[in-house]
Amino acid sequence: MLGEVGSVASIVGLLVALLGLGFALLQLSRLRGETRAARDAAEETRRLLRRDLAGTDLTRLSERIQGLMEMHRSGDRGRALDRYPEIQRLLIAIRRQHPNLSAEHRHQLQEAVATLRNMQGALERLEGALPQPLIADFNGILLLLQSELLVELEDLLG
Amino acid sequence: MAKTGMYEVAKEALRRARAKKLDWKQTFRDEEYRVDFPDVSLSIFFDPGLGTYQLGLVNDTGAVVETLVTVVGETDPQQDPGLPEIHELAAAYVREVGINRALQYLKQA
Repeated sequence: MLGEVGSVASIVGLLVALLGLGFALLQLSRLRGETRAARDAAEETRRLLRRDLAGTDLTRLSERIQGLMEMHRSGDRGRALDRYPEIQRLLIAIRRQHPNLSAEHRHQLQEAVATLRNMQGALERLEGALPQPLIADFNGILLLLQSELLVELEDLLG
Repeated sequence: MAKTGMYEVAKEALRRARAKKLDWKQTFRDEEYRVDFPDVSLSIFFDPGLGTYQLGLVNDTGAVVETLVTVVGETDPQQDPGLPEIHELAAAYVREVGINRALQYLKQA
């Protein structure tokens, strides 16, 4: 009699344990799903944030380039010389924030930074007023930068 | 001249310049040419006042971080990595590109 009660209790115990295990597995699976969803949401937030930041940087860069072209036109050499490093810094920051850019885009950014450096050097060495052909050359380069490279980056990162 | 990393860069630049594999551009300084790669650039400059050729390595911030200089008539030809020839090839490349572009535009006009 006692043996039968013991067997029933064992079976009931086993059933309870199995139920408990099933419940735990269900909870674990639900938790895993929630963790994955939370991770996906965080990644999406980060991606949107990066896109917003890139968009803001590109807008600021475009404004700074526009301003520099106006400084060239008005012959404001002093302010133009202050503006060059800022534009270079923004370009460098974009490249560093996006290490996965293609070799072609990194090449274009490198070319832009090096060209701006050369333009800055030429402006430093220049004596007297900015000659009109130089203004046209400089602004032509800046316009290309604004209308080609920045637009491509905006499409890519924005 | 000690055979530094820049010496090797110069030798390789010379080899590739001879093969017209470098897309040189003139900078805003007379006698200076530059070629860009992803993350670095190389510049070659002849200073007629000093009689020197200077090969510069430009980093990703646009700063010249390494240079190699040879002095016309003073650098041992055995030790010279060929900076005058790189300069000459760069100038010729820029001229050739300009001529080809002009021809192309003229033919289209």
